[in-house]
Amino acid sequence: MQFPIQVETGAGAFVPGLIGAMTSAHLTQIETIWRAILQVTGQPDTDWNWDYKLRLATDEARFEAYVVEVDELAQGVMLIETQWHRSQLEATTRPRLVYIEYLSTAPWNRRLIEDPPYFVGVGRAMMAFARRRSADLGYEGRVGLHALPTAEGFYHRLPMPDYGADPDQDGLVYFEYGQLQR
Amino acid sequence: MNNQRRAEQLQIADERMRQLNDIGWLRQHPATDIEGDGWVEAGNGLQSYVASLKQLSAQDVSKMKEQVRLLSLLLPVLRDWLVSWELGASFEAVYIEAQKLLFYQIQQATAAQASWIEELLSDRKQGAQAAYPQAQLQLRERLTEILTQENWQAVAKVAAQDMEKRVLQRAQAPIELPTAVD
Repeated sequence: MQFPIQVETGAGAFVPGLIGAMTSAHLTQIETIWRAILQVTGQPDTDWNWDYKLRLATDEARFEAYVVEVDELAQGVMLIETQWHRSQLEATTRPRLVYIEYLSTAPWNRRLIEDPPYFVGVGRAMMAFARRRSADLGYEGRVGLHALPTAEGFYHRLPMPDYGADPDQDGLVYFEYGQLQR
Repeated sequence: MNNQRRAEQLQIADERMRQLNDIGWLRQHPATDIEGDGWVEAGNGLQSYVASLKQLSAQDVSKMKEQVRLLSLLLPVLRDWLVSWELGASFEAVYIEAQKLLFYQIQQATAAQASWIEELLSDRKQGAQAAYPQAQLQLRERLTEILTQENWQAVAKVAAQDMEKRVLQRAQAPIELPTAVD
C-alpha cells in the first residue's frame, strides 16, 4: 500500500513524496543518518533502539512500519500494532484499533533553535495514513496513541480526542480517533 | 462490520489521502497550522530521542540540514545509476551499502569536497540548475568524486556476498515435488 503525497518545504514550496512500507534501505537511513544526531549531542548509544523497534515489523505480523519518503530519504517513520490493542473510548464493545507504537519525523523536520523545519506535513500525512490502514483492516478508522508532551499540541490541533494522562505510560496523554466520519 | 460499511470507510480515508496530494487543498489547509514547530512524536520509547534533539546547537542544526540537502540531490542520482547497472536481486544490498558509505563520506568531506558541496548547494538554492540529463550527469560526477576506490570495493564485496548467499540458499532449499492426483 503506497500513496503519493506533496510535502511542503520550510520555504513554502511543495515537493512530491510517498508514504508506504518501510524498506531495509529506509531502516539503514534511520540507523545511520538519523542516528548521527545522537553522536553530535554525545548521547549514550544505549538510548538508540530504533533498529530493535522497527525490526518488529519484519519479525511479527501484528507490527507494520511505514515511512514518508522524499528524494529517496526517509522523512518520517511510524510503527503500528494491529491486533492486540482495543478502543479505550468505546468501553462496552472495545473494538480493535490501530495502535501507534512510535511515530516520529526526521530530526530536521522540526523547529530547532530558530531554524524552520526542513519539511512540514509529514506528521499529518502519517496520521491520515494510519486511519486509512485502520479502515483497510475493518477497524473503521480507529487509531490510538500516547503523545509525548512536546507533541500534545499537534494531536489537539488535528483534532484527535484527548482521554487524559495514562498512569501506565508514565503519564503520557492518550489520544484516540473513533470511527471515520464525513 | 459489513462490506458496504467498510467500503464507505475506505472511501473517506482514500479521499483524505488524495487531499494530501492536492496542492490547492494543501495551500488552503497549511500543515504548519497543525504541526506548529514540527514536534509530532508519539510512543513512550521516544522520550530519550526527543531529549537528545533538544540538545542540538545552532551549528549542529545547520550542518545537519546541509547534509540532508546534499543527500536529497545525490541519493536519487545514486539510485538511478545503480538501477542502470542491472544488479537484479542484489540491487537493494548494494544500494544500502552505497548510501551508507555516501553519508559517511559526506560527514568527513575534505576541504576540496566541502568547497564544491557549498557551491552546489548555493547554486541550487538560487535555482541555478543545468537541464536534465546534464544535471544528473553533473551529480553523478560528484558521486565519483566523493566515493573512494575503497568505497566501491566495499560495495562490490557486498554485491558478491549477497549473490553468493542467494545462490546457496536456492541450491540448498528442499525441492518440493508436486503431489500426485488420483
